[in-house]
Amino acid sequence: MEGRPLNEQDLIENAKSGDVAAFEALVQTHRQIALRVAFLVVGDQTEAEDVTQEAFVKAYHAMSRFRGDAPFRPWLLRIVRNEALNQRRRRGRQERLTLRLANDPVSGGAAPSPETTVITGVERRTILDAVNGLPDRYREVVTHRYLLGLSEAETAATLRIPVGTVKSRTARALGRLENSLSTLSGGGRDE
Amino acid sequence: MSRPIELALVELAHHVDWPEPADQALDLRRRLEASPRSRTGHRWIPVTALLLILVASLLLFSPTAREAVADLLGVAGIEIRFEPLPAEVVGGELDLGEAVTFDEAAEAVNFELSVPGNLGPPDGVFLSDRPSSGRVTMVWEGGEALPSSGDTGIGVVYSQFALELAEEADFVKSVLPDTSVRAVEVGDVIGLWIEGAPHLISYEDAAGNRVEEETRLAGNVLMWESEGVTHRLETTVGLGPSLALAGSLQPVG
Repeated sequence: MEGRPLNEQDLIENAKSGDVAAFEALVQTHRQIALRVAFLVVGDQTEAEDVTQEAFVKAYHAMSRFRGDAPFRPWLLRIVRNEALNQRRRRGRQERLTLRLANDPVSGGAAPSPETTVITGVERRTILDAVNGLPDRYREVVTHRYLLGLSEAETAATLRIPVGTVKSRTARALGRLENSLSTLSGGGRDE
Repeated sequence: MSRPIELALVELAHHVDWPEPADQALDLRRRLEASPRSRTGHRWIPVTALLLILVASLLLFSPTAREAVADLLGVAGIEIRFEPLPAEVVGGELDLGEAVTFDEAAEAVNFELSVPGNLGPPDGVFLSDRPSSGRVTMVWEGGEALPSSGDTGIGVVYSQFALELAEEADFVKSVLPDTSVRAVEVGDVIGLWIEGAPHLISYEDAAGNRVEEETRLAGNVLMWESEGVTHRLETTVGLGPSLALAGSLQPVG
């Protein structure tokens, strides 16, 4: 997270004038999240990787049109998602992505502090199942906002929907999740 | 607005079976520098080098030249539309509320605003209704002493709102794994230093209401309460510089 040799603005300027190394360094920091954005659309690791690569190449050639004062990450993620949607269209199949839990139990060896919210593996699976079961338009917003950690504005820019729509869909999606979780656990939680 | 389900989702993000990035940087470079003409099987390095110089110099010229280069490299067909992003003001993408002037912010809340003595005027001022008595957030762009977080360009996010924190030691209701919270002295009051990732914390105010806070810069947060006003200072730097910044705060009359 730290120790970047040049700040993002410098890298953007250099990349805009065709510096491949600068562009690489620029996208390197967003590589993981870009891959995940692509994965959420195409649902396949190898395909997501190809899509991300292709999107980066396109982004490189589109750098001249990038407004220097705009945030770079949502701009890049929008290109990645667009490429992923194109890929899914080309492929013709429209399989629904099912997110799974990784096998590793808990990352990090540090002992959790007493305040730590304890969420068990079973609960995680239940929540993830509920997310997987959401209608696409809600699931997209929830996955980008919470699982990818994008801000409302970034989610809006990546998904190409207004911020107000992100807000309203998020609210509805959370309501649905809470409902389905309280049904599953066999009794509503008073809220 | 923030709820337990949101905390759970953020926590869940760490346990999803995401694809792992391969060594993509290398491939990217190769693809960017490759040309269809070099696929003959010969390694004409001088020619390739010449072509790259040509490409590089062409790229410096017009967008038309760029498209020509894109064609040459076999990556034509860029079909992406670039619309202006919602963020027009510094910090506008951080969802901090409505962008206002400093005077508008000062008028909207019933407490005296403070600003750090050594940062100069803020680059953005925002007003939000969370809590309902109003919250004023000022942002400063990153600089040498207070580097920005990579994505936002912002180095300091400073919020003030009229909220009394609960006094009990256990008022922090929950934080996520990998986040540490500890009590620190901020001037003559006890505050909290919240460090690490990810970035959601929930705590209780004096009235027993649950409050949830999300970090904006993927940074560290210093929070303290003084005379009924809670101050929340988020930076990308450590505790020392954050305390120094807090110590430089001065009320603006």
